[in-house]
Amino acid sequence: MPNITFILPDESIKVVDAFEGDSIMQTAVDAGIEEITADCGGNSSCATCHCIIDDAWIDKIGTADEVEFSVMESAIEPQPNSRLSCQIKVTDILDGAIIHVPEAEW
Amino acid sequence: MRITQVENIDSEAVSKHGLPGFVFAEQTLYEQEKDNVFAKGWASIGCAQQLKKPGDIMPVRIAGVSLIAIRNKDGGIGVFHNVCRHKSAPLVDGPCNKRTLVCPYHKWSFKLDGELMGAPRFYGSENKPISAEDKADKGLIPVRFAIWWDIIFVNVSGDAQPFEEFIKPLDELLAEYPHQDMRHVSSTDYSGEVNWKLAVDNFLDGYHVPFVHSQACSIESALGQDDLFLSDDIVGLRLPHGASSKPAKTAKQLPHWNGLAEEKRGTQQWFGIFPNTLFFVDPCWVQTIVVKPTSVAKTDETLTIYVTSDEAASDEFVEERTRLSDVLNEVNQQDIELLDKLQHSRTSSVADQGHLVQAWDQVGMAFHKMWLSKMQAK
Repeated sequence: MPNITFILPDESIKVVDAFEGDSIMQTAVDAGIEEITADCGGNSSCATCHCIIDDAWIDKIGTADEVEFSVMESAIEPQPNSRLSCQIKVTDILDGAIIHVPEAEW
Repeated sequence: MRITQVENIDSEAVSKHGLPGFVFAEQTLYEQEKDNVFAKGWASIGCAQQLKKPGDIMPVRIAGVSLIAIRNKDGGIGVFHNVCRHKSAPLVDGPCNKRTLVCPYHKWSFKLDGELMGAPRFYGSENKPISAEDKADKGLIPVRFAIWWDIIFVNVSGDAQPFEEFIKPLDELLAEYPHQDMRHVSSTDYSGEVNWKLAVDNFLDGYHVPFVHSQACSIESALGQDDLFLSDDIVGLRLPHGASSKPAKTAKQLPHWNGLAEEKRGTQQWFGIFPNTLFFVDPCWVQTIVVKPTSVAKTDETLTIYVTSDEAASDEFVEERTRLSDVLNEVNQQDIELLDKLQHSRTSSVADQGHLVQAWDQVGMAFHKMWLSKMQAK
């Protein structure tokens, strides 16, 4: 099982075993990460699964496309490495990936 | 012979006896009020400072309409119908903080400014996001609103007179108060099994204050009451020295409004803004009660308290603010208990034979006649 490292807003770290085929959003929700509220259930519609890919992993995971960026307008302080985690599938290539979880409220 | 139809209510009789009891008890009349009184008027729904940060959302149900007030990303306020544009499910159930509004039914999502953002699988098996063109007519339905002294007023029908005209006599009366400095202390919710008009009438009744709220006011100071008739929609009462004649509870007082003229430093004045806004201005604080009917004999209220400045809102005055909040909420609680009892007796047939008192009840009579004129309007 690939593992994913989430860095939370208070800088604490959660390392989680992830299931291949799950989205990063699902992995975060299953791990009890409260900031990922996943309001629209993974339909690229709400920006509440907003995460920021660590610089070391952005090439492997890729930046957001046009559709994701337009939804990102509703996220809090989107960055160039921002992604909707519901659109990223876990594969073994992502083993060890570092994902920053931003604040969920302004 | 007992009057049972609004059309037959005589204005002169209202001056003597108040509105007949049936108007506080009939559900069909309440249904008419939803439109004639609430939707067509400038009704308050809450206070802007209750929405403290971007993303804060406050749903309000008032006279059959479900609305949301939103503090958007840029810090401004928006008011919309709390209704999804697909199959009209309610979007928000309670006060919350959200980045987007997602409908629980089919997960359509709306930005905080009301624009439709996403509708999953809008085209079905053709898996592409909903186009800008298809989104364009499906944003949240905005509601005409205005904010005055932090109160959010709405006009659901969209065709009431401009708010500036509506509020002008009161705005001018209070022009010297630097209300942009006022700071929120607390908002408390109440619920009564009472018709909303009895709650408004009670607030505009100066006569009961030294009796029901003897801890707050003596009969001597209540005798100084001036009646204020500002417009067809705004009445009030003034105690020129109401604030200075209270027993001093502690040595320390909350700060007065900056720049208040000497002769106003003891003046208390309170107003009914038709239909449902109860508004009290003291030299050291403000209280707003938003009256929200949900049925003919069910009324919710939110009582909001402010102090006059950042200084008054600072740590130095935390005890004084707590005491103020306790005092004002105690007064409201005393009234709510009385109102629940009043609902039964005030709606009986013999209530139509009550005798209003010229010396004290003119402002209440004026409110009853305002209601009558709106309900009898063709």
